[in-house]
Amino acid sequence: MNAERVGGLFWLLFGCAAAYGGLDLGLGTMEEPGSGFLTFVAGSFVSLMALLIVIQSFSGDTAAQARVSDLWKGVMWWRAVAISGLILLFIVSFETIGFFVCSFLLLVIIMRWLEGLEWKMCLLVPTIATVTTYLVFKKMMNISLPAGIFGF
Amino acid sequence: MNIHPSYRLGTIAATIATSLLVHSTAFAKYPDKPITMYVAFAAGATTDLTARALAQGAEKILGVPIAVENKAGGGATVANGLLASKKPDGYTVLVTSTGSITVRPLLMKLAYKPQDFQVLMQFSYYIGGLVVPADSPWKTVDEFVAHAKKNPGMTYASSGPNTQQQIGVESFARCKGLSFKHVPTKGGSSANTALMGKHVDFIAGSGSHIPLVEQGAFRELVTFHVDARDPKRPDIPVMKDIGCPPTNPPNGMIVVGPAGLPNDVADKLTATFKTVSETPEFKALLDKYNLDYAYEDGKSVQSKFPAEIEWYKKYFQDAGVMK
Amino acid sequence: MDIADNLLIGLSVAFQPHNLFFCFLGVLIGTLIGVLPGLGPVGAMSILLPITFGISPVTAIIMLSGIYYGAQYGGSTTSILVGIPGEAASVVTMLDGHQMALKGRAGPALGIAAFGSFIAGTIGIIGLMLLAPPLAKVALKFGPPEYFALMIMGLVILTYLAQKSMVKSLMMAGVGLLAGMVGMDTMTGMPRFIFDVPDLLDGIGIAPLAMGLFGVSEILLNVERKIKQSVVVSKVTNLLPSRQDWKDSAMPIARGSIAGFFLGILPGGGAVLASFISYGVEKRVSKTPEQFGHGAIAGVAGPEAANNAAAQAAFIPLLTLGVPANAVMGILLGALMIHGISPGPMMIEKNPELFWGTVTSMYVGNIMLLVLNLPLIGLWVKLLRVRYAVLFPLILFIALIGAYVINGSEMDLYLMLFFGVIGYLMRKFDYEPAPLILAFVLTNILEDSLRQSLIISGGSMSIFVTRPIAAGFLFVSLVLLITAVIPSIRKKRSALAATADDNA
Repeated sequence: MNAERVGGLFWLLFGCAAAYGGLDLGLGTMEEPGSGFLTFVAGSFVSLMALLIVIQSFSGDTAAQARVSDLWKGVMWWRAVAISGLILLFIVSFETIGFFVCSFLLLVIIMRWLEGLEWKMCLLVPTIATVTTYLVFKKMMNISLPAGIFGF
Repeated sequence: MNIHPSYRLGTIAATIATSLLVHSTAFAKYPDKPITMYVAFAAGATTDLTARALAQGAEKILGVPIAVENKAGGGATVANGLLASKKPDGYTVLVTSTGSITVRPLLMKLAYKPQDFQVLMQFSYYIGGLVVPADSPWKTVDEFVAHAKKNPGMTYASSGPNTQQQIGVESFARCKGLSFKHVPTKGGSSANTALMGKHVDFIAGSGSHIPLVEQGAFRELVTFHVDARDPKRPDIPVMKDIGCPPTNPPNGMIVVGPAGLPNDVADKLTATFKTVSETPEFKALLDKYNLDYAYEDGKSVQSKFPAEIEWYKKYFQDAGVMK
Repeated sequence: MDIADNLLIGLSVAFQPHNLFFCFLGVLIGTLIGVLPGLGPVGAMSILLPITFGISPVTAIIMLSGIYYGAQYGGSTTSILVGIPGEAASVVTMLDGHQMALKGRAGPALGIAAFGSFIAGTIGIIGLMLLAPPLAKVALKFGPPEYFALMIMGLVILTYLAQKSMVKSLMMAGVGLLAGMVGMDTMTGMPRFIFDVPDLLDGIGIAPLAMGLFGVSEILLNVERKIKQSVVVSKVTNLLPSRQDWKDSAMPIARGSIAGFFLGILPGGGAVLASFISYGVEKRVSKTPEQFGHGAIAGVAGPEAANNAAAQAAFIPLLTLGVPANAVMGILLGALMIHGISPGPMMIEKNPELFWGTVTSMYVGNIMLLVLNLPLIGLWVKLLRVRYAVLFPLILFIALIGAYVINGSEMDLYLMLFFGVIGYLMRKFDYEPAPLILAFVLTNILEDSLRQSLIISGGSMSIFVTRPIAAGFLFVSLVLLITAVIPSIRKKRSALAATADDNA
């Protein structure tokens, strides 16, 4: 599918949803504009622009325009997915397991599994990073980052 | 394996006895680890600094460190929600406002209800007043009322819609039969700025106006929420003086814990904070912020909640804000 | 002369050993805080507030102010080096600054940022000294209609930032406006679009938004490609700005300082608006506008000067009127009160050594910052040579810490990740994130001032044209809009004419 068209359609949907949300909140009166007034205006504007993009995608040299699959051709997109997944995992677990433990694991996993660096690097760098930040934040600035079940 | 019944009974008895012993020693030793005090307001804000003073004083009495953490946001609702989810073991307390507990849940869906909290004590409250620029033609509240009657729709700014002070102005308006146009702004400072620039006719002062009154930029015409005149500013009348019923119940600054605290823990905390709040240093601090020292025991504060909730319910329904 | 006397008072205060020490401490902490994306001066100042209890009020204010304007210096460093803007004011610096870094010109970028900030800071302090009270009065004249007009002008200038498709950029601005509406509506006190998440009651944080949309998305885009050796693609050249760089930056710095200073005075106005107005202006008057977005040094010099001048100007409402211009000033207000100083119009008269001591120590602080930051440039540039495979996990780590400590909220991390993915997708589909962020920043003031104005005027739109300042800004906006559109109309016309000639 044409990438421009898909992008445009997405934002068109988004804009319409926002405009509807604005109507739902209430437009109010001129003397007292409601919560939804500017939302409706902005949402409609986004929809209008999105519509223009969709229309434009039909003109010009359609054969030369990128397809959605082209955007991901030749790139190692699974790495981006993996990183996002790892970050998500981190966020979900760090309040229970502890911020520094989780970050250490995150760093090691990224460096070893994804980047394939030597073990020496994969352990040394995360250790230095987590220890230094622990000292700076916990001891020097007294900012607390969740300690989790391991106590730090 | 067959365990002899009496042996079993003995084990059970021993276990119960030990756990009771441990339990009671735990209570007798409260507190035995650091306490966390959340503050529902931004660092540097008035309430934050008073909370930190309380924490510092209480540390010495209780003998354990008290870590202060700011969790501002949503007008204290974020911190309230956080505390409501904590265990009532006496190691987590929160400094917040009564209004955010009793009033806010009436207006929107929140992560807590008033019943989720146990008030330990109150140390002060917020006051509001009707404030005009110093060079405005109205020197007394009567002159103001007379003018307002002839010119309905005067504009006023406040620190936000449905705040204690804004409701104060509306109560005042109802009493005198006036109608105003409310121009909400974000916070007391924005309201002060708007008044300084004369973009509105008056404001619902929320406390930050007092230094500006002292410096001659503003004039306060009447003070809401209290029954007695401020001894430091005896020429400013209160609602009673001008023949009006008291405005809305004032927002108190309180220390709370999650509901269900053991009695001795709650009592110990209340007594500790009370002692700290009675020290001259603490009272001097409150004075710096132009706050009144208004100690009230937690149980007494909490017993007033139902009446307060009823008052606001009726107000919001009348105003059409609540269904 | 009066000013000379006051300066002498100020200098005698600023040069006392403990004041010098705390000034240095403040700017040092400020720089470090600024370098860490996410945690801003507000967070740092609140943590350090207890330290100020034991010292004199002047010293306390000197230290806290040092943290504030020091953070402005530090913020540009991360923006330029790794493309993660730690706060709204650094977003614009990042647009061209990071491109310069990628082209091996991180040194000149950082150098111009430091020097520009110093010059602007100095201009700002001079302005503060000479013009504070009269300017404050002008600032007070800005009511809701004036702010609305100013925000409209900001939106129009946004369109200048567009590099590729104008339609797409405008749409992104619209999306930014919508994003800014999440949270509690100031005017009704009711929540909007928070989907029952209490952490969103205060809206989407600008830091997680910017860090995700720019920083995380860039990391995601980079890891997909062949393994990059290092962040810098071309060879690193000089460490300091060249003569040509200086020639290109001189006027932008001057213009940026002035724009930043005047906009910084407005309570709630500020550094962000100044920085992108400066960018827009520079792009407009530049002889090489196509360079912007690809490493034009004027695009770094101007906005950096603007946001530093604005930081100095932000002190004016607090010191002359007793009203804080932003959250940082709010903390200073609290600090003053706790020391028994009552802020208000009489404050300068009653406490001259406070005002003049603070102002003179700002000079000292700015010099310290320049001396601190310049040698560090060599260090930062070396950092960029580290293997990307090692660097980006560390950047990610720092971003996670920075985003979390702002509020201690898990939600900020989720937001950062969410916007990181959105930013990644957006860039894939060829949409620019910058207009989104910049519109986002304007939304609250834009909407609130519009509705406040209409309440005050009783529903009549005439309030915007009857008040001179508001009308003035709207007129300027109109002119800017027309002058932006006319060239492209002309281009289309000549293009049409050319094809007509071809076909004839």
